Amino acid sequence: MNPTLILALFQQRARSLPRMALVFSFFSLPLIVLAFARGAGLAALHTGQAFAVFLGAGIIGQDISSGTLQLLFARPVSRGEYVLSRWLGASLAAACLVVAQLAIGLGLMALHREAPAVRDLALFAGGQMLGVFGTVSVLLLFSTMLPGIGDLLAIIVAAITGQALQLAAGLFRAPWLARAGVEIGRFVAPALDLNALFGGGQISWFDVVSYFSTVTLCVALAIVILNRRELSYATD
Amino acid sequence: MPPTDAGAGSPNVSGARRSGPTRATPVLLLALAGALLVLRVALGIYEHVRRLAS
Repeated sequence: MNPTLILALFQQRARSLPRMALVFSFFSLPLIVLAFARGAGLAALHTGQAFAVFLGAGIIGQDISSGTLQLLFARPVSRGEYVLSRWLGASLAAACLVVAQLAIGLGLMALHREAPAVRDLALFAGGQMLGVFGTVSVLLLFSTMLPGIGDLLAIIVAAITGQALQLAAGLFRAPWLARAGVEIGRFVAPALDLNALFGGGQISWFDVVSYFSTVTLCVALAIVILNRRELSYATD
Repeated sequence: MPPTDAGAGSPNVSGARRSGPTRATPVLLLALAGALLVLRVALGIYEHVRRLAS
């Protein structure tokens, strides 16, 4: 982990006006809903993965396209260190937004005397954090292979493919096709519903292992792919 | 003696060494990811079979 690289990512993201506009709208709109609508509850604050996408899109691809990486790797910075710093930086930035939004949202809910129980709040916050780190890890993997914000496009295409497979499974009565579609969806949007996990009943270890498998696989493969990549000084 | 151009690298980098301190392979992370992937597949099959049996 390299604090300088993490700080550089924060500054890079803060300078991007479209990103900041999207982040601001997803930060403020749910809070406006909470301020005026009663009974919206924590469900209105399901924004962790959106923040992760806004801050993580093009996490490496944009540095490759702009030529930043070619200059950066002329310095004694290991590629693994760079990948981990980008992953952690984008995840931490999105996680901070989640926490800040939750804190304000909690205040607004308290004004309406609808503050959730501490346990529910902790499980919700934990689930949002896991969603953030998971989504950024998938973006990280695709970003090592695709230029610009091609990673975002790849996730959208994969998610649509997963949905299409599930639809096709219904048409062709092929359960294996439905399962393939579900697994694709699970891979591109890794998340864990902690409320379902700890809300009593049986814990699905498959869900838990699937989440951590996706995250570790994406981060490890991202490092390996970037290690093997030859960076061209021409436009990629 | 053929002239040399200081600082100019070979344009053909295919087959160049792709290793070194800045390209260290994350062996532990890869091993963990592999183990979790195997466990994921095993648990997926187990849960599927258990659902079919019940």
